Amino acid sequence: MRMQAPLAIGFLAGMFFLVQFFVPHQRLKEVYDVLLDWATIIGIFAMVLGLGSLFRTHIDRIRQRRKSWGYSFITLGSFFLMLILGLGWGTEKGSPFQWMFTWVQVPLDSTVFSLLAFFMASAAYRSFRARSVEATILLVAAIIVIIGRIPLGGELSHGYLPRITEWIMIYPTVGAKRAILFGVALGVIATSLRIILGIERSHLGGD
Amino acid sequence: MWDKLLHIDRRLIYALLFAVVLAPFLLQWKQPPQYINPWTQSLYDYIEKLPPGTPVLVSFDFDPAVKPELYPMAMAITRHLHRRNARVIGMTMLPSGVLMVDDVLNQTGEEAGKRRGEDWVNLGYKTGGLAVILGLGENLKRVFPTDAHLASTAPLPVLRGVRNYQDIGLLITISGTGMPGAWIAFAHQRYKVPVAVGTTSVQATDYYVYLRTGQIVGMLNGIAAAAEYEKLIGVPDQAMLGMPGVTACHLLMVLLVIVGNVAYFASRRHREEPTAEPPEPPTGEEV
Repeated sequence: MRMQAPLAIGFLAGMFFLVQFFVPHQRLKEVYDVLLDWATIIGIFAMVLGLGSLFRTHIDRIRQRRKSWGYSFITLGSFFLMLILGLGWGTEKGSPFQWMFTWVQVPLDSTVFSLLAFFMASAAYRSFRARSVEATILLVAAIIVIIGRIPLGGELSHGYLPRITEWIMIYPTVGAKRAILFGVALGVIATSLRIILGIERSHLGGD
Repeated sequence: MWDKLLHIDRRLIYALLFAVVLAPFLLQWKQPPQYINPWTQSLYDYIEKLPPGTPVLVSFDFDPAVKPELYPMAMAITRHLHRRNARVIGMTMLPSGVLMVDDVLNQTGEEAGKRRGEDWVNLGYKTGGLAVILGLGENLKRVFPTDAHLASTAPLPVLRGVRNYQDIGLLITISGTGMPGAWIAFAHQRYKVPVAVGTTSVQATDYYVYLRTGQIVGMLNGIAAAAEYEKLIGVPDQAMLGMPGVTACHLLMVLLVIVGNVAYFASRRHREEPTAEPPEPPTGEEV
């Protein structure tokens, strides 16, 4: 029963959305609206589950004094600090919550993301080699795109490099991307059908 | 020597990059865009043609991590929308985006003398992902019964006559994630609302596919496009300020790739060069 009930719900919900998409009947639309509300509510529960999982993981780490347990302490401390600031003083402009967001979270997140540029610079120097014909084509295309995307590139080439850059992005890149997208789309359709028909059961904890 | 260059300490590269990014700010180097990307231009033109009072849904789907790249374009687009007297309906698909939506809409609204609730609204964040995108196609006020400040959306003048996508003149998604793909697939394909995308340069390649098919009306590709947009609307701001740093960084990357390749091939040639061979030992056959 623990396996059959979720399979039946999955089948009915999947078939309903499939039929509803092609049959725009008013009665089906009403049920569709209710199901969309349900999906939003389930999304909120998913957040609660995520929070539960976060607490369990970090509390266990602190209790067992596992490696880097101090960071778990900071994670939980930051969570409660923001919660207290938000509930206590609101999130309006000028509130302590917004101050923390603007002057702590934004710079920290941006800093972590910008570290990527340093790794990319180092990786470009060490691994971007014209070892073969394909690698050379890739390298030349990359250099054109890198220079073509900056104002200096357009200025030095009288607008040619940005145009070549656009050509690279529109034709070879889109061709490759489209091929990947077709593959992904076919895979999604196949997997969706397998889930609806109960052939794919790994999401239920089985094989 | 080439081997030494090839195995240069990575901290030196990091220091070089840091100096190169910082220098243009200290030297106040300016790099205004010389060339306007056709996709930037097409979004600008599309907004220019919107009749005054058109409701435009802007989904600010970015978090603080990509703020330096996407915040300037969010500001530029919103400024343009206010100038065209569009009704700006802001929202976000990310919980950490709510305060940034507020920041952008408050600042641009104040600049343009627009009022919250009348000319713009921040609907905030709602869980559900795809369910939210699909729900907006049925009934916007059912998905967002209140705005981000918990005021009821029903009496808001900015949402008067707005029931679903059919009443929206343009949907703009500004995101550093795959979210625009979902907006295109579900909001545009199913409900035919015109969609435009603002995204990071890294992510932009994913959306060129939709430009070619006409599924999106325009796209801003990274901070360079944000600077182009600032030029188009005649309000130079953060993107223009950031472009010299980006330019210097791009030039350094090209230089690093060239130096890395020269060092690689030179050291390989050096290793392959034949050294003076020792004379063959006598075989005993010679007399």
